[in-house]
Amino acid sequence: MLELRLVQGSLLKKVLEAIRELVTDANFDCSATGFSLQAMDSSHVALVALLLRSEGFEHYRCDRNMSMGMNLQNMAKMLRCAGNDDIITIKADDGSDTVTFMFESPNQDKIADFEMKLMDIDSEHLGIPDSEYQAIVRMPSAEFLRICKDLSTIGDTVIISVTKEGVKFSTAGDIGTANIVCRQNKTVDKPEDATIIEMQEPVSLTFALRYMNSFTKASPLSDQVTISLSSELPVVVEYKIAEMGYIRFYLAPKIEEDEDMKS
Amino acid sequence: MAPAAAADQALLDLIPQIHALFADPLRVISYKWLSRNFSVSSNDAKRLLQEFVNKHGSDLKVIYSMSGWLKSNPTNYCVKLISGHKLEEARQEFKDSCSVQMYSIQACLPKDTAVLWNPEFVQAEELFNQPFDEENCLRDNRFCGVLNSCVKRTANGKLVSSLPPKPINNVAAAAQPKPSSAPKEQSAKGLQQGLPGSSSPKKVMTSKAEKDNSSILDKTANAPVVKEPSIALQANKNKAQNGKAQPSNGGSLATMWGRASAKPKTPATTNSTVVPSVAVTADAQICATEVADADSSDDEQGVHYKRGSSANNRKRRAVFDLSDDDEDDNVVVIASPEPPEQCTTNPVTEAAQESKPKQENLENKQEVEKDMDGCIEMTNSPQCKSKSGNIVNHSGVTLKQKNTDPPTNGNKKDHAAETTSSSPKRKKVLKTRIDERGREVTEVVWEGEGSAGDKAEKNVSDTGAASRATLPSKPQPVGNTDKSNASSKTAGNKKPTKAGTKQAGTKQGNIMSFFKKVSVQTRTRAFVTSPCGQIQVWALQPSTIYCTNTLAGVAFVSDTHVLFITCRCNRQVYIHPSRTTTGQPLYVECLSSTILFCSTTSKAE
Repeated sequence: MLELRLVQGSLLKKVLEAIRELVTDANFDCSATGFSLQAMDSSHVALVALLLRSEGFEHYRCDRNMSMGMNLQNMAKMLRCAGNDDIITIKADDGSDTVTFMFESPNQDKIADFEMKLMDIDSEHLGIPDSEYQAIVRMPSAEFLRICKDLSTIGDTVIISVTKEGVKFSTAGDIGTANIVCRQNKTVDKPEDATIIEMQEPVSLTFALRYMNSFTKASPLSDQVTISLSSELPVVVEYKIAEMGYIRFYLAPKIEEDEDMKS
Repeated sequence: MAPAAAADQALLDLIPQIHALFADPLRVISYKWLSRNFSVSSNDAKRLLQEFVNKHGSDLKVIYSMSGWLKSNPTNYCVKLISGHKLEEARQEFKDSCSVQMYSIQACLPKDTAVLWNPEFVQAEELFNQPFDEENCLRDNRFCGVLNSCVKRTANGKLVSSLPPKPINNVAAAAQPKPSSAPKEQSAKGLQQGLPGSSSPKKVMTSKAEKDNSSILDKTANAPVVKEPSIALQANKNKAQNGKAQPSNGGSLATMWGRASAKPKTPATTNSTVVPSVAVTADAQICATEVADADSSDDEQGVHYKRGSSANNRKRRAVFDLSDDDEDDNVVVIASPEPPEQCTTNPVTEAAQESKPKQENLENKQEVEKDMDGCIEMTNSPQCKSKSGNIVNHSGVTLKQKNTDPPTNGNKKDHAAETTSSSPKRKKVLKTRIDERGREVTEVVWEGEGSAGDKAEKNVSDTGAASRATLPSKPQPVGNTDKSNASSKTAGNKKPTKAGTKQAGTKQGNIMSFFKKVSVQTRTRAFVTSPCGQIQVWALQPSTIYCTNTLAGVAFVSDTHVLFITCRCNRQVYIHPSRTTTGQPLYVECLSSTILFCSTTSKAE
């Protein structure tokens, strides 16, 4: 028996909008600790990890671990039927092949039940080790969204370089090049506008902007985005979900091809 | 023949120089070496030798090349190097009409036949090794005598034109055969001569490949059979390398030959090495035959085939202006006195047959043999000769024959694809793949071996391929497909993309290469059915388990005691270890059967 009641239903809606472009089908894993998801995109270049901890739910009951395979497009369709202020409850029975979304309007005068069929999905779970990153950039998510959007009009890839001066996003395309430098800026009125760079050593990595752009779909979830870079590791783009958990995107960098392959 | 006389006079002026050269007792002066050294045509070189022999015939040895059909059964076409005194003897082996020409003069007959052509190799190598911008007789293919006079070369790599065929272009500057009566004179003289010599016939070639080969040789002699093909082979090889190594680099013949010199091939000095090279190029020569045939038969149609490329610095284009009688002074005089009638009729059918896109070399061979039969039936040696004379000239430049291949099908030149596909063992295929940005890209790709004609055919197919390549749904710029076509392997897997240079060197990594898969099952569940309404569970470490259809629902199993759980009789009991149970087995027993649980591993939290 599974019963998760989320008062801030819009969170779930935003989560779905954030990942449905990257991943089509995924297993949602429910355990006593929380509601989580890990999935790769079809080309195995990017990975999304979602965690909604049980404490964030008004009511959380998960008798046993459950894995529910869902088509994210379909799930998003159903969640779009929920109002932004609605309370969303996810319910599933043991051994059942359906999941039920219940939407309650804030003043309890409307209750909607949507039952969705589950699917069997063979998914590979990757063990993601906790690593020390050489550089961690925290910046306003809206700013990051804007940068990715702008750069993708110029080129296909973005080179993210972190130095003492700041973080530089650069691209090159047929029409020209673009460089955007964001300096560290802690002295702002609102903490969500701050840009904070923690750097152990300078890093410069190349990524496909296409993926970065789809990561920024999670911007509504959080005012701040955390970009963690290490030269030998995938970049982590993390959006915190207030008090509840996070959504993290991992993206493998583009690798310089060997010289002999080029010639 | 006033101009000829003047030319002769110029040639005669060279005789003192030959005399000087001849003073070196070890030197073999072959017509070929002479031709290259003084940049005269090979026929002139032969005539020069003849003059020299006439003047100083007493103290030198002459080697003649003798070619014709043998009397033996089955009749074989044969080319022999014969020393002067054996000439009459050797003539007996041939049918009535055979050609005899000067091959070389030397102070004494060498024991090792390799000496005969070794100097030529050395010479060729030297010429190849000259810098690209240096003019020499091999550089611009002046003496190769390939019949498609329409190839235009620019020495320093300026693109002539990249546009598809235009009507006649008479500017074509390459060697253009000019009819001459030289061969007849030549052979006549040769017949008169019959100088006494000392040694035995040098070489008899009767193998099949050689036969094919020799059939298309004649008055130019025997040694070319040995040498030119191997040069051609070399060139071929280098072309292949070239095509691979620098795909986008322009197909300048000069560069190609520069490479040829960079990797000198060991000259074929023994028969064993000679034979394969001959065999290899025999096919090419057959192609040449067909080209020649097609050339002669396509006269009225005026097939103009121009090679150029949109790609970049291609430097050649062929314009088939097939009027054979172009008078050009710089030209080798080798061609036929009159167009061979008989031989042109056969080729027509042959060309028609050849319009079948994929043709095997074997077929070609047979057809050539047929062709030869036609010639022998005529028993008109001058004609036969003249035809094969054409071909001889091709033999040196096999790499070009591929280029000229398409015109054989020129009748259907509106079908670019079909035209180009006439080369055997290669076909054009549509390949669809997903590029690094996840787009579906469909390209026209050449598939098959035959890298020799690679570049040429790429080039040939440029327009066709490009237009086809743009057919597929994705709007790839034509240039892209061109490029990837031209550099089939290397550039094939890299798409020129928006990000241009920067992206060209990068490859998208895979997330799987960074994180390991979690190998152990993350959840294990099992069920037991208990007829007695009780199950026993024990564990190696304290763990919480979830049990359905039990009174408890959730139970705690210590590591010291067996836990008895009451359940409904004959109902399935699902048991799931909780997430706090990590890595340790959990045992559930119902009556006597024990179920081992692989408990969960801890997942990334």
